[in-house]
Amino acid sequence: MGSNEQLDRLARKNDQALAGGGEDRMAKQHAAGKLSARERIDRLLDSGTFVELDRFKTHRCVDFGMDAEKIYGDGVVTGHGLVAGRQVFVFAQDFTVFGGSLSLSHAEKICKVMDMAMKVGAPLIGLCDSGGARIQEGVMSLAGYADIFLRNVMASGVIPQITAIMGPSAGGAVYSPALTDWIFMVEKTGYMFITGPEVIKAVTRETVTKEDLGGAMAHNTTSGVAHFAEPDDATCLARIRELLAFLPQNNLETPPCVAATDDPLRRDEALRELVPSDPNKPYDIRELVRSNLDDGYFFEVQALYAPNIVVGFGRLDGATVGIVANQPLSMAGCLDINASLKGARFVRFCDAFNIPLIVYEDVPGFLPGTHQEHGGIIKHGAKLIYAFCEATVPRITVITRKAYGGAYCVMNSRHIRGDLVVGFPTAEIASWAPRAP
Amino acid sequence: MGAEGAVNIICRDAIKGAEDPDAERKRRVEDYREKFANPYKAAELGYIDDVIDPADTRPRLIQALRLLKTKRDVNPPKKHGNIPL
Repeated sequence: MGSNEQLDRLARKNDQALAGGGEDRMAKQHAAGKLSARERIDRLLDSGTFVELDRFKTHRCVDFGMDAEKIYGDGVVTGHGLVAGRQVFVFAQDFTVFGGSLSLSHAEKICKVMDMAMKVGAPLIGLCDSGGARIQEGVMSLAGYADIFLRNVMASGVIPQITAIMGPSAGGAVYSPALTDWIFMVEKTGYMFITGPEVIKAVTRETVTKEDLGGAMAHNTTSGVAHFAEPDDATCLARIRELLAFLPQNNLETPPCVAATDDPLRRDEALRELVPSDPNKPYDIRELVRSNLDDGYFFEVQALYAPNIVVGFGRLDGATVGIVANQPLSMAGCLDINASLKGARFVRFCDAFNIPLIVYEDVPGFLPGTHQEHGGIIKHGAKLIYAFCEATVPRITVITRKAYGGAYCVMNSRHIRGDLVVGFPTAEIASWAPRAP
Repeated sequence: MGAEGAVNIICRDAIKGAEDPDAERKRRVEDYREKFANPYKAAELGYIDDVIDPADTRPRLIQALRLLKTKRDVNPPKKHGNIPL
């Protein structure tokens, strides 16, 4: 037997693996407006840098005739590659193979890249497109999910974990994404819920569409589960690359510093006119945020959820900073339950990954109302205090106008280890609003 | 709750005892505003480090970040805190 024959055999097997679920299913995937798992990875990574692992792995299920149905890869493509020259690990579920359903083997592939990402300290990106558990495998499939959850939690705060929901993600499958740092959702094709519309109808008789229940908009505006809504696969993958550019590889590194492209001494006299002296007049805090950042470039996170607080990333003199800002344009910049949750989670992420925090403060207080009190604003507001108090990264506060009551204490005041707090001449720091709202 | 509310509580007796309670209340409200509707009370106390020209925000932020580059701060050792979930 010559080596050519062996290489031919390898080539045939490679072809088989690359074909995934076959032409028909691939055509269906494209017709649904979705890229294939491999196309997604190609767009996510720098061209030609993907190194695949476990290409020939198959499931080991023998029940329900599954032993006759094996497809190389078992419904998920895994490996590593580069994003802007930096190492990342990636898994992409392949909906064309058993509907991307999760078998134990499928989970083992994901766990392998998670373990390697932890070993070398590189971000992990999961591209989800899965019908859920491989029900033929029963409890083995559940074991697979739990194995992934454990690794998500162990990796939390050690390496950045990013998820893109690019197809269905239902039932237990939603909890791995929920345990990661950032969730991107593709509009119209991506949805996530614990129980789908059919189950809801059977149990509560409510009628709801998949989109309204767990589509990109539902989770970006109402539930706050997701952080980004993107119009299509290509935009989503480009945005993940954009996010990664702000982040360190792991919790022991400082975030990347790019060559500064903007004058660090640049002043902006227009800012003198931005904050109205009338405390009841709104203005867009993002104008101030953008003006101060390098090239006015602000990468906003969770823009559609709790717009009364604005969070996101930018650069100052080339270095990544995290921005937390009250937004007078929405609810006068009041802190409520959702704003507290959004702010607290962002602050904790930045602290975990050594990203300095810049806080812009214009806050009249916590939002009054029975809905807020009974919804637990006390414990949720406490999360924001907790997050700021325990943060050890550099923390700077700019008070633009209102800093009233308990909200003053919360918003990165000097008393809770803010490193530098400055006020504009329009700042009002008081235990009670000096003017009636 | 505005200055009126605050003054009504803090200065209740003085207002009640004044010859012209309305004028007294108005004076006290103005007083309260003068005291707190600006950054200088907090600056006197050292609660804010400086009052800055908004035009200078970017240079000030960058200057502070450079200073803080070598910041070291640690929390007390513990298994983990108990964030109110």
